[in-house]
Amino acid sequence: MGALISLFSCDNFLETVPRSQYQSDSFYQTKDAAAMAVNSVYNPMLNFFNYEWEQRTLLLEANSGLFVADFEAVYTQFWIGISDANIALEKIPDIDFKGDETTKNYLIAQARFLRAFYYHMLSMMLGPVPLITETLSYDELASVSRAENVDVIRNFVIDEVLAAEPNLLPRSKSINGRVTTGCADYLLATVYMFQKNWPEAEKWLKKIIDSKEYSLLSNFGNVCSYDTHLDVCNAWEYTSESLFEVGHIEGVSGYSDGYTDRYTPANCSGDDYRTNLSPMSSNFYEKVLLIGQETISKTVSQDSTWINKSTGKYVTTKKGQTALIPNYIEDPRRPYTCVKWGDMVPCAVNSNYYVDVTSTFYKESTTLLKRKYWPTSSKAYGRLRGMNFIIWRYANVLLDYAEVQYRLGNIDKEYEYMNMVRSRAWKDYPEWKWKRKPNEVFEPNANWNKIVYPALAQSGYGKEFIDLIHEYFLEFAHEGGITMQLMMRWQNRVDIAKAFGYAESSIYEDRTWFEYPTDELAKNPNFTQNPGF
Amino acid sequence: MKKNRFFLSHQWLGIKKLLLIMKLTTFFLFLSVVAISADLYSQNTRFDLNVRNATIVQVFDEIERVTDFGFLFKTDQLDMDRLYTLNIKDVNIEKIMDEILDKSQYSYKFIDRTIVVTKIDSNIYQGQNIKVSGKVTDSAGGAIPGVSVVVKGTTNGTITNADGSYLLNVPANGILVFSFVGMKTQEVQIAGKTTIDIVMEEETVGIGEVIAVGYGTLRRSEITGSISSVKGEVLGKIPVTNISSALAGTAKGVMVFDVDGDVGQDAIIKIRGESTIGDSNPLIVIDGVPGGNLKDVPPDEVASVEILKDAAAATIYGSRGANGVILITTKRGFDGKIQVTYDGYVKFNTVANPLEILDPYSTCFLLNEAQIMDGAAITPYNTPDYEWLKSIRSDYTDLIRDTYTYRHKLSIAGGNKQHQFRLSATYDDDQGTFVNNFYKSGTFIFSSDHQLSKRLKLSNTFTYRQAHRRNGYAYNTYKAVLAYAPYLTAFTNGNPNLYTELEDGWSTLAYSSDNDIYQDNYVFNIEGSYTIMEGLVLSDRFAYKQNNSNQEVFNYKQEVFTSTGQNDNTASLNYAKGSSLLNDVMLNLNRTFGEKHSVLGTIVFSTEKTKGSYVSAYRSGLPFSSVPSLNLGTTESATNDGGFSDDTRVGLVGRLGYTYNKKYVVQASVRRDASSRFTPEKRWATFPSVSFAWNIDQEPFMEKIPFITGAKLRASWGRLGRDKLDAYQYYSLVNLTSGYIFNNSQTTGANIAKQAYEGTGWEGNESIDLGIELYSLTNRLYFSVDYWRKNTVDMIFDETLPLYAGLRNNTISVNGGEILNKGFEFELSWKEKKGDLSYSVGANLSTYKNEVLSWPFDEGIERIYRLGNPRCFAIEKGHPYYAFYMVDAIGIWQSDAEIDAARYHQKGANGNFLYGSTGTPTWGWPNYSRGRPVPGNIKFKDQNNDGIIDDNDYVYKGQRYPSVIVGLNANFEYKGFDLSVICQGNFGQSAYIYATAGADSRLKGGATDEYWAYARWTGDGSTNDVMEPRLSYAGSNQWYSGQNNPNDAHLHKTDYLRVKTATLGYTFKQSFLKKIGMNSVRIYTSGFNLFTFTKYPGADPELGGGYSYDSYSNAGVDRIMTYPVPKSYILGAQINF
Repeated sequence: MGALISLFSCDNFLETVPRSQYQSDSFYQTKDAAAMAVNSVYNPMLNFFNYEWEQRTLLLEANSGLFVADFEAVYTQFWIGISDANIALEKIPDIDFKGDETTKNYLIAQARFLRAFYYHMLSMMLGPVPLITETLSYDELASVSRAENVDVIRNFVIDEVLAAEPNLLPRSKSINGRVTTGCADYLLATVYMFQKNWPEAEKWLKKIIDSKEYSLLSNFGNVCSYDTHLDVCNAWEYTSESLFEVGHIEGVSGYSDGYTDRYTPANCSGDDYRTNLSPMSSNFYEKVLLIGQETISKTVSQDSTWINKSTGKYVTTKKGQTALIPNYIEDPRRPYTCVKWGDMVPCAVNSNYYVDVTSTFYKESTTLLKRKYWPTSSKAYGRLRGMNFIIWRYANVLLDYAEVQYRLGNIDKEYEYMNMVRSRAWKDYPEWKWKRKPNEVFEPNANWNKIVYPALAQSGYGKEFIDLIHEYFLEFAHEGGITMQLMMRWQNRVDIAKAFGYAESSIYEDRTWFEYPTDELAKNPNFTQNPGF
Repeated sequence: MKKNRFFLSHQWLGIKKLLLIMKLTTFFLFLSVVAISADLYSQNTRFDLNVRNATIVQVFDEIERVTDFGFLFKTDQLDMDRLYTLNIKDVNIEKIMDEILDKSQYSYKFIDRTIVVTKIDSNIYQGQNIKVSGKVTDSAGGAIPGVSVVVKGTTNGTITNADGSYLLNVPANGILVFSFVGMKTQEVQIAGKTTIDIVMEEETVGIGEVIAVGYGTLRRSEITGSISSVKGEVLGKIPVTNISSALAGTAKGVMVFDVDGDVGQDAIIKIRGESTIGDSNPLIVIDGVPGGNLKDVPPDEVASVEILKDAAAATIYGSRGANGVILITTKRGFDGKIQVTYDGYVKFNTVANPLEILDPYSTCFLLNEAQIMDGAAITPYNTPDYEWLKSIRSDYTDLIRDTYTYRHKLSIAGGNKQHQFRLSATYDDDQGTFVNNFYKSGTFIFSSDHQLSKRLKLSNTFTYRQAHRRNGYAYNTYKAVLAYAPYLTAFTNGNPNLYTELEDGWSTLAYSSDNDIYQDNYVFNIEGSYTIMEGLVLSDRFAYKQNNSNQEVFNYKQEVFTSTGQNDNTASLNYAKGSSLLNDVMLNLNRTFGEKHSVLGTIVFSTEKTKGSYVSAYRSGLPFSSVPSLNLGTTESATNDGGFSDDTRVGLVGRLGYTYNKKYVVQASVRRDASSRFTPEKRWATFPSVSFAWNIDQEPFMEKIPFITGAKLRASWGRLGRDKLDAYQYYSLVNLTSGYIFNNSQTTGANIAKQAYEGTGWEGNESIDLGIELYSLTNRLYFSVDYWRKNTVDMIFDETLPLYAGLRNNTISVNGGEILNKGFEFELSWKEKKGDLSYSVGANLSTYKNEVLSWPFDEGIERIYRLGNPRCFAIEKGHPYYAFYMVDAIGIWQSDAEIDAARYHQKGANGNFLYGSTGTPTWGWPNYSRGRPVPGNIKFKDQNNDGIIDDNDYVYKGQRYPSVIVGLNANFEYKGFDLSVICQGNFGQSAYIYATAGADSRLKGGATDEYWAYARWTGDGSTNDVMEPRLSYAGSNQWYSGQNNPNDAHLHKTDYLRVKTATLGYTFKQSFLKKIGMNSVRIYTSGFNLFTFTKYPGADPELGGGYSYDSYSNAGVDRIMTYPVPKSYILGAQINF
């Protein structure tokens, strides 16, 4: 009995030590641990640069109320990234890299860049957010306040990126997926543009252009869709056009792109008609294309159809869609962005099937379906897909550079750089002959370079800026919230909303940023809501 | 069919395992039983004896030579002249002894294997048998039939007949023992008398009764705390599969709720309400080992159940007794001839109250109506094409069945004065009323007690239990039928095209998965005690407990509806092992000094270490569904995982009691507990209690009140605590699940998911209890009342950190909040015996009130989100915990005219009227959305008359637990017949009827249920009182508009009274049975959930009362889709050999 008592003698007995997890004190000791800490800083991108983020291209909410229903999820991920970066930046400097200071500095630079990037995204949407640059205790967290103004955050971002940039690697020397010198340069340029510091922006954009690390793909269809009928899903992954890209892999929960079946035109097997063809972004695209056109007809319910080639059987889906009249200006990028009545799109995963929206049965109710990020692999169907997600590509650099030139009054240069992007779609793109119907050749508008977009003309903007807006919107429709970022930068949300025909009563002019998540305000009395809410 | 084959193989595996365990057990049995083997040796050892002209001593010598027996005798007492010539084969020792000794002159007895032969003193009556007769009466002079009259130390006995008389052949020098239930057992020396009349005295309740109180026992008179005690005799008569079912209605202050009709589940038990956030389940202690489950013990293996309700009683369990303690003491061996008992029953189950669901045609008709109500032009279901739907069956009757369930139990028990043992094996086969749902379990319990010397005693209990539970697809499919489309058939034998043509977007119905859980648990429990001196005992309990659980889930590929249904065969396996090692060193003092002073004391040093680990694995791509084995999946798809956790607790317990003259009892106890879940600074906590009892009936003045035969006053105060937080909270741990993709390959990431937090301390609660107990009319009437109050402070709950903390796991456990629970408990019982009839009736009533005294989110109200998000609860200071909080539904908008008349000019936040951009006033209507309601919508009450229905119009609408609990029980015995009835009733609680139905909640809970479908509003004047709004299809995608916001249209009282069990039994007379070698046979029949009196419109008020769906945390929300509780009937027999 005495032995039993001593067996359980108190103090040691009461110390239970976790055996299936590492304790942080002992974990961050090696180079590998440092690398893992930085991997973790990248991780949140997997969770928001997917379809959730893609929805940010829907400026519909932004136009009226600057409120996105699931904004909180995105907000959470940014903070997770910042917190992980703080941990990495606290732990890595104390780790002995055994003389390999280059690796150490490279890891630190990545963490600093990513933390700055997350802060940029947060401040872009929410303005002055709290600036937390170290791990805080639970009590300290409670007394945090928002930054005094948004420039506190922007200046922090600039300082951090300037410090990180020299230690990053250029694209040609970097492992796919890691942030590069180009990423850093572009983030600097972006923040300077937010600050309307055009000369600095020009400097960093020019650095990217001059580096010759990047070039446009010759085929717009490969940017984030596919053009051929190949069973290749990596057409756009880590290309020369890719500046910053989120890597996803297939079939692994948490590491896939999060689309699963969304936007997936099914496996076209004929039996499977429960496709979740998402119409969610068509509205936006349509508005861009139809600005100023008066006859937008809407019906309550429309259908697209899949046709089994061998049986001729219609396979229907039913989704609430907004109809589109066919006589708008065809931009060659449209078929890669969304699919509408009249298109014949080969089924991605089964060559026996194709999307046919030509049937007269559905003529009355034509629809636009999102096409960017369609799956390109039959394996993808019904599984967790692994398509990468583009954050920035070289076209951003060129169009931003065009904007900087416009701001600096160099209109010729603006068009020179804008047309680099535009001509790829309209002129240089070798396979632009989009099949409208089988065996029917579509001829693009020969005057593509002289198109006037009437609605925005009514907004009071000059042609030079309107062209730029359209170029951006057509090039980047459905891509990672780029258009939202632009509107936050241009602060022309109200003009655009008006041009899009929103009722005046639904436009809140006094709102600069999104609504700060109200649950966060409830948790911290120091926090104040953004103006207009 | 295919599956059955493999199921069989599982069974075989199980049996093999069982055989192995039985081998081990046999070994164990051998070790333990060796001590009582002498007894068995004498009975079983057979030998040959061959002597010629031998003296008796020579005969003894020969026996010693051929056997292990030895003899003790005085040679001068033996008749050395007699010579024996014996040639006997295959005989046992008793036979020989009877042969060679003149029983009138000599007697012998066995001491171990030594036979002591003595000469009978010729001065006392010769050992001749004489006939004794007599009559047994009660104190009032009435004859008592059925009294057991036995010669002490023998099985020679009889029972009294109808007029109380008996006649028995007895040795003239023996002792007669008279015993009868409810009466004091009496022993009378025969001493040659031939007539012995006896007046039996009713047992004074409590005086001699011993009650388990945790780390010891107390006499009832010494009890100062609030303890409900249920004896095994009561439990043994009710053939339930689980003790929890038997406690319902029999123990006051204890709420017992069935979770649902699923098999193999413990009911939810709450002792004195819901006193804390999260887990408020009581601690279950089985034979001194804490942390068990009630289902681990077959009910008729229970000797007694004690429920420690107040702090004074439960302090002894300190940190784990905060929600009350249920002490289970199992039956043990006894001093007497080995008894063998078989107990078995067959139980027939049928779904008593299946939901009436709409047929497909009606559903489509209603879908049309919903669209028309929305003003939609399209009515896709309103075509003659759908006439054929009339032939489609859509109910779920394919999924349910009538089943029978059976139990076999065999027990062997007996022993002698020094050594006793008991062995029981129980097999339960419980078949659910859904197909492919069952729970099979086998329980094996061996216990033995050994008085090794006058001072040293050793006891042990070994329990092994194996269970196999299968949750087949049927229940999930049932839920889907209710949740989704009533016009879809559960199986694919309907027309799958129906699906296409009607609507897309609804999930497939034919869920196909088998979820098998194999569990085997064992407990080794060894207790040694050493009596240092009279009344002072040092003991040690050492227990090792292991629970192994092996869960196998197999999902079958769907041949139909492949797009969102299962499109692969997958198998997953989860093997979990939990173990705990417990050691309690106890020193117990219990002494009486002089006439008037008695002292008791207990010191315990308790240590416990608990470990848990698991391994899980998964594979997909099994080519066929016929063999659901993990290894048949593809290796590429294989994933696995594992983990480990542990925690430790140390407790130091002291209890001191003093009783003066049996009148005044004062007790104090203190437990000092430490838990590894807290940081060293916060680790230890002290839980004291004091209590006092006054046995008023011992006072001289009570003699003037003769009709009060017993009276007691109790008062107690005490503090308890809880350590319910995650292990390792004060460690900063690295999470390795956050990697990233570089170059299209996955890398590992590391981050700190949760920063260490050291601020959490013990949760505490403080309670008082005041009680009075009265016995009257010679103890036939019993009355007691208790008032109790329990205040829980510093509750441990999860606080969600702000998102900017950036933590992947952003909750930490912190202390806060205060909840007060209080109530009264009344009990009234009457028992009497009149002639052949003896009966007892009892009623108990508990009131219960719960109030939040403070809440960490004091500034506002915490709205509670729950699965399906009904948002119908709030927690706020001054209101019950989890109070219903919703807008008041006051009718249905009947017409446009009525709606327009009700419009108002809206005011902005600044109080000024609002005007639109054109300068026209902004009008509002009193509906939650602020939009204009349409006829058929629910009308909400504008509580503050500000013209707007918003958050300010939410009001409290009641609580989710009963405020009054009633238990009724009655037992009758008449000439071998016995009848017992138990009723339970809960009053004062409500349930919010709400179906999840995923994102698509067009089928409001029970839109498939005819009751709601036909109560709907269909036009002006169609309904107003029954607040079922119009159907709606568009927009919110709901059948019923106005369903979105919690309102009391769907809140219903669940008051009910239910006859939980009724049992009728008959015990056959001994005379008949002796001929076939049995001692007694009882046959019985029982019914469960026979009648329910309720106005609740949901499926079941006990489940609807909210203990439904997945867990207690969702209590109060009836999601309709609960597993229906079956109505069951039992036929069974108890045979004693």
